[in-house]
Amino acid sequence: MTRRGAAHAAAWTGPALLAVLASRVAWGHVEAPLLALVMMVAPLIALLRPPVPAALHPATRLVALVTVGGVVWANVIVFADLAAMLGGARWQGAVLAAALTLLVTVRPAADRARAVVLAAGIACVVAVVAAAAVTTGRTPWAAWAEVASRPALVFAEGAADARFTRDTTLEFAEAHQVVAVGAGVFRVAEREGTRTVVREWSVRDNDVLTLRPGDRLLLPAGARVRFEAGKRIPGAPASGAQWAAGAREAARALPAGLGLAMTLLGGAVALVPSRARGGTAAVAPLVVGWAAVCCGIYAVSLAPGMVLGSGTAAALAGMPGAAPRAAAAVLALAGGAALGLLLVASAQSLRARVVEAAGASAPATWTALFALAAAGAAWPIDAWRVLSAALGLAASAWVAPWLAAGVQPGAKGWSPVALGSIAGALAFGALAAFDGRLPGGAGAAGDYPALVAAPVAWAVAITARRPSARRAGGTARSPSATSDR
Amino acid sequence: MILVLVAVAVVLPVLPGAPGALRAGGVSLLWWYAAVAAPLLATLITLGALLVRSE
Repeated sequence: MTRRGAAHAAAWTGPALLAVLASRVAWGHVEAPLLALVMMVAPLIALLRPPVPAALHPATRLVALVTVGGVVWANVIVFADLAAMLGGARWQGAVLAAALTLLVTVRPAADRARAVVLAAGIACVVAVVAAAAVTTGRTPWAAWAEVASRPALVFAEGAADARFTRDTTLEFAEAHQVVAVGAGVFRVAEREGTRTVVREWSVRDNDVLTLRPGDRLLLPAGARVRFEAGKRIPGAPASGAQWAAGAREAARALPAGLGLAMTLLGGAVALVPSRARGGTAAVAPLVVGWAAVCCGIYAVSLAPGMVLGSGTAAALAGMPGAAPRAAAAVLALAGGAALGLLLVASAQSLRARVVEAAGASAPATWTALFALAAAGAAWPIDAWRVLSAALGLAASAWVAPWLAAGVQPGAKGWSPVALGSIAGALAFGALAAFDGRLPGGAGAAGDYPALVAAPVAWAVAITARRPSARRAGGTARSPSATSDR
Repeated sequence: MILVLVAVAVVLPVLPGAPGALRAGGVSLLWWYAAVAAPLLATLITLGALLVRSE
């Protein structure tokens, strides 16, 4: 594995993307197949195309730093979720992960070990898959087919405990007795005729809450409960067939798919160093992507209830609890080591982008990014929201203007790329603010603002190009003529 | 070429008749395509391109 190949692969195969993909597969999310594909091929496109030049304008530099900061934040959130799952405080996992990664990445010798760290991380992910395969006694495709043939997704015997890493509302389709593990205050929304009544319950350890069909249980972050084995998992797909198929209205599926693809492809082009040599850079995303998909399949096969309310790391962290002791140890140790090693390798690669954007103040900026990421991860937010926002911003305000206008040597002030960046960032921010409030097919633009913001940035940048440059086919250094880094 | 592979996965779930939901070996065609065939093909294309570039 060459150092450049490792830099290429590591920039993309961070713990957030691995954990998000595994969890989405486990949960039967409608976008899971496309997410798996784009995760595996996006760095390949970045590998083959010319590199995105270093950000020159302050606006583009800011976009670059926000993008890298967002990816680091998403990666650290995975460790905060893990800490919450294990019964600790979110900040403990976040601070530990951020501090250790920062300490490793500021050491000059760390760059030389990047390939080894990445290889070890990938080996650990593969070990998790192997342990899960031995535990279930099935190949991934056999496990997928077995889950898809289940008449209902129900809590497994002895694996019905769940700890909620953020405020969660569960809607029950059938009568269910939920046992509190530890004290807390739970709220239950019950339907009485045409109105809904919310009752608050102060529960102690082992107290039982009886819920009727249609009731909603509102659990605070940190709550831990035990569900009835054999009962349907609230909020999960009703059956294995529904898990396998996913469900989304066609009006929204196409724009959402396009938005997801644009977000990840643009993010990869921005962040992943291009033109690496050797096969490592091409093969590593495939191996990590396959491993993440397999982890998701095995997680739902072993303990479908584990993915409930346990955050981004649910699929990876939930498996040990449902496995026999020896396999559980391998799953826990290899899973934890994989996430940690991939975090370090990813951070080492992303640091190069910060050095380009921040120049002399890169060490302080890098430290500040990790401090902010640790602070932000203490807040219970979904890692995918943060990661997709960061990658979408990069696609909209960094890559799209560059694709339109290229790099203009000597361009100062308000270059087309800078104008495109600002327009893209503003459009992205406006659409993100409307997330969840846009109707029908337009809702995809709220989920993935790059769907609209990237074309806006592209249009502004290409319009702002000097007329002489446009007539000449571009005195600017177009993307195809940009030199390698 | 790689973008075409992605475009097929975007369109496949919304095609009339849901061909992606057909099963082969117990697994849906959409999953075989998106998680196995397309990424493998994309990786082979990339390795080929890298090989040509290095010559």
